[in-house]
Amino acid sequence: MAFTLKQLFKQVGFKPNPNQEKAIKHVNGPLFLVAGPGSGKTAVLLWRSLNLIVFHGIKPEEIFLSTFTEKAAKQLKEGLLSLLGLVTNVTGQPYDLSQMYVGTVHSLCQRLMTDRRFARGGKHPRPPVLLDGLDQYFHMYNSRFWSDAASELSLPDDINKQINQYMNKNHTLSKHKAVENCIQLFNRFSEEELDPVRIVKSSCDAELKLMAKIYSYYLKSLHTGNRRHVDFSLLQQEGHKILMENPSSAWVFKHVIIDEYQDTNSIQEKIFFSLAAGHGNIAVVGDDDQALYRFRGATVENFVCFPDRCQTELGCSVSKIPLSTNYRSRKRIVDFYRRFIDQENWTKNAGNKTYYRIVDKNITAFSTDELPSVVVAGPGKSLDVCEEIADFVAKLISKKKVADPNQVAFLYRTLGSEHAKRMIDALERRGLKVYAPRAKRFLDNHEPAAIIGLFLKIFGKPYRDPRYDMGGNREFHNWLDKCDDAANGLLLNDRNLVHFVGERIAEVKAAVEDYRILITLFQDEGWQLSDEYEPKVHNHLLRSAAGLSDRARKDLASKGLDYALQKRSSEGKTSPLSWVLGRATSLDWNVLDLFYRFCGFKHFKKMFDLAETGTDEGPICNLAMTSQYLARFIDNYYGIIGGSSLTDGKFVRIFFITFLGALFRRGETEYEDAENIFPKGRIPFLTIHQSKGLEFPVVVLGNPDRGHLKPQRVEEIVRPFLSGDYEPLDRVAAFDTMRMYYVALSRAQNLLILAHLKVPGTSMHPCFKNLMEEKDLPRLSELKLSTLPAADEKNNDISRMYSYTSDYLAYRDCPRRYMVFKKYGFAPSRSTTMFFGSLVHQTIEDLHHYLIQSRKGSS
Amino acid sequence: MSAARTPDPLEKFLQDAFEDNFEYLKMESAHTIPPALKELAWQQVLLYWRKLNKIAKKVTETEVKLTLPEQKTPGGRRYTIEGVVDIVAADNKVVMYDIKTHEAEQVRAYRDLYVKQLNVYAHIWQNLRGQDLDGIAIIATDPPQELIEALAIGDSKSVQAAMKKWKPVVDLDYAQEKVAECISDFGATVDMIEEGQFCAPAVKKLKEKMPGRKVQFGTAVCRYCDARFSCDSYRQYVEVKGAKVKGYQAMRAYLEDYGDENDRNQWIEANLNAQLEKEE
Repeated sequence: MAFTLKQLFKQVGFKPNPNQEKAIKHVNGPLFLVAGPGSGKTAVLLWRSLNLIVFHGIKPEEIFLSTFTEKAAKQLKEGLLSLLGLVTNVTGQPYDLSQMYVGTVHSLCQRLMTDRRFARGGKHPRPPVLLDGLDQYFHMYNSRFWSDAASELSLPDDINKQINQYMNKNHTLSKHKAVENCIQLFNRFSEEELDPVRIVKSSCDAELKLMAKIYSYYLKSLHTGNRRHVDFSLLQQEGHKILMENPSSAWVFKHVIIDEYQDTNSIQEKIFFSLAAGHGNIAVVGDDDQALYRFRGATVENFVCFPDRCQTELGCSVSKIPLSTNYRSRKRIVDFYRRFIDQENWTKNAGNKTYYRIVDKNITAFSTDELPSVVVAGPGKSLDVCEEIADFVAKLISKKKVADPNQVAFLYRTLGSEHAKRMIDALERRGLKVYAPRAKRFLDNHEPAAIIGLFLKIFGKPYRDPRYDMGGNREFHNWLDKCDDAANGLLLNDRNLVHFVGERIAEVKAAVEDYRILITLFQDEGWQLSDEYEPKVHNHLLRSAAGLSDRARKDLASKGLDYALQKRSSEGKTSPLSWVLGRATSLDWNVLDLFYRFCGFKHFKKMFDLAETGTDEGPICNLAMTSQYLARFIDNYYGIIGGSSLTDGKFVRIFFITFLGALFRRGETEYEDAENIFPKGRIPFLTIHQSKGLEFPVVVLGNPDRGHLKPQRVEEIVRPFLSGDYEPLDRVAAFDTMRMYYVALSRAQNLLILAHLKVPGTSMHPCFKNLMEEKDLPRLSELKLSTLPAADEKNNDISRMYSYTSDYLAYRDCPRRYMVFKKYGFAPSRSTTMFFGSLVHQTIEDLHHYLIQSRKGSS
Repeated sequence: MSAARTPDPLEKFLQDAFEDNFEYLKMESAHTIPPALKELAWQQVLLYWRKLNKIAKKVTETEVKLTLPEQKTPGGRRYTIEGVVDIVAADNKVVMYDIKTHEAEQVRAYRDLYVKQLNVYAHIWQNLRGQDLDGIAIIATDPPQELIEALAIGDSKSVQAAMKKWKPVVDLDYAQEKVAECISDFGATVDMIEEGQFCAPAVKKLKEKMPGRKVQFGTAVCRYCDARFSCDSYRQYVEVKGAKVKGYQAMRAYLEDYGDENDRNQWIEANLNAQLEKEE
């Protein structure tokens, strides 16, 4: 081919450094890419894939490329599409990326379950249903789960207390805590593929044995009838199982490429090595110093020990290529974080000079700007330091040292701390707006509170038991009171809404009353709910019961009932009296229908109007998320609200206490737009974890305290069952804290501000203290603004994907409907077009596949 | 048309796949469709096989994802067009089919719209595969009223006649000259989406009849949209039709409208059944 990679570099103005170029051109055997912060690894990944496809004849569907987030995957794919488009323009050679595996491990696992290349014996692959974090919580929070588990495993009465005590030496009776604890431990068990039977056999710890038994029960509970469910951790186990059962799966992908390898867990490592076992081409990219996710089961050792593992798993050695030039930050920032990570003692064995870290990275700044770029605010009391920083940030913005307030990021270990709140306050007092998606719980926003308040008006408030009116329970009931107040405010200003709510209250009352009348009749006549309905015996008595509402009477007398009964009988279903009762006394709307109708009243309608013209999208995002939660309620609990659940208070209890209570306790956070997480005009407040992979012209590290002092409990429990070369338990917490701060520090491009707080009870991380003295860092007050380069407007020129039918035609049909369901992702209640179309299309697709396969088989 | 009456092994496969997909979608999408609608979906699938098995047997690639990268909108934004089709390559001919769950007459009435769409797809296919197409067509799987009625009565003669009369394949003209115009309109739409222009169409559009049908857009489409309660255009559409009532009484006209008694029963039954299954 006359066209070369070099020409393409030139065409787009990409000038790789020697190591980048070496990595891009590496095509055979395992590649170990140790990429420091801001060293251009994304570009290398992109160009390497391009090189494989264009110049080495690798088909896109022969590449497996796993990223840490879906967003990263999307960007890579879009970047690749653009570059390949350029190639096509020159060579005329077309490329089809639709079959390429690019995504998170989870999504790729789901995909390979339906991929016919991994199917066994041409069987129609049907993946299990995925439970996300919240589903998993509901599954385990369910009383039936525990009552069934209790009878099968003979659990003690105070099981919650025992779990909490075992997991965090806490005597609380909280079921919520117990469930969260179980989930954390069970996920780790699954990721390590620990067999509960083995734990029970080999451990002499009675409490651990009990946990293993509950885990075992949990696994069993996910299989009911012919439905299989998996949580995120088990999804990976399932993916691995498919690979193990099908020997040819090792040859499906010619290249396996994994980004952010330092944050992979054991089961993922197994998946990657299984996929690469055939061709042996596995390329991993990462930085052990930026490992952040041990609490989710990640083991940084996967990365540090990658060369050894390749030797064991694939029987070959790796090509190690470091990417050490930092293109992101000014020189003193790079020097600072390099020195920071060196403060910790990473020695594994002093004798043979081995380390728990890759120590020879030698990260150097591309920048030669030696002017001060790391400064300290304070020292002082939290409030004073916040004021100082807020003044400075206001100045930065007014002097145009940043192009937008969203270029100044505040990073914290957790956003719930008082320091973060004070900082937000200080900025807001200066008229600056902040964006802190994880600083407060979603339910504390006005929109969900107002909607829930209206629900309270219609269904009534759950009982506030004075015996348990404390702690989290009290907080939750206080929140319900606030919702109630919000609804009062709305009702005061909208007479139409008063009418509407009044009518719904009457409907609920009628359903309760109908149910009472009919159930009394049942008792008087000696009928059981499980008795088969016989029109001749029951119908007349039912419909002539005194006091019955017109609606129920009409339903019982309707032809529709006869027709439905015939249909059930033709389908072989029985029709017990409980079914007839449910039909006659159920409301003909569910919680989502109610929500959408509330949206028709002026207070909420205004929010849609604001979004239609692009004026403000904050409120509609919160409404969209409210609808999604209501859809989850329907999915998990009630799709229809019957007279019986209204009568015995079950509906109120489950909707408010169980469901909303869970969202409240779990502190589900605010809406985050995956595409555009930093709205213009607002200063982002992020956790350090959230800042992974991002960069900002100015970074403020708001509270560089000591961090965790002890390893996590799950780590302690699981460790004895793991064999391998792990970091010692007593050093894990210190190592992880260093890595976390390393990530925070390396986000800064032009200026890094460290807050030096003098607060009783908390102290600065000793490494920061040492460095402040050693480096004699300048104070914020001494910084000359003229020495600070101004940041450019961020050029966000990515090429987005638009579907002909679901974007273009849908928008042309109705831009507003497109906005509501596609842009903001409102959960539909009655709009069924998608469901219907998908059902027909998927089945026809299955038919085609079947026919194609059988043709192949017969030829 | 009931699922029980399908002895053919392929129809048995189809039925299993259909039930599987139904269960799967129900769990994935967290909602369901009423039994009558499910029955219609099954009818479409089964009739597709019965009527068009000659095409189905020749399909060489199914659900092919087509992408056209590096497009530029009038506003200078870069974007990629995406579409999905089925391909039949047999007898030295390559034909592209797009399956739609619409009625064939409706597709014919809208022909121009589909001509544009399939020509854009054809353009992408030829770019992507370097292979010319010998034909482009829509397969419209929604059976005509006549056939549905014949099936409901169950008279095999009239079913046969209606089946014979049914023309679900709508061949479209190969008109590559329309591609540029269509892509430019696509680009302008992308600009509007990215600029955040999301106003509902004017009430005039809601009052227009759907092409090839007697029913108005506001009834055929908006009436089933959950967001209609907060939509000014829909309110105007309903108001014009209604009597001279004001205030809350006017709102009730659309707040209470969940169809007729049959629709209401359908909804209750579907959800009651789903609820009972959940509780089992």
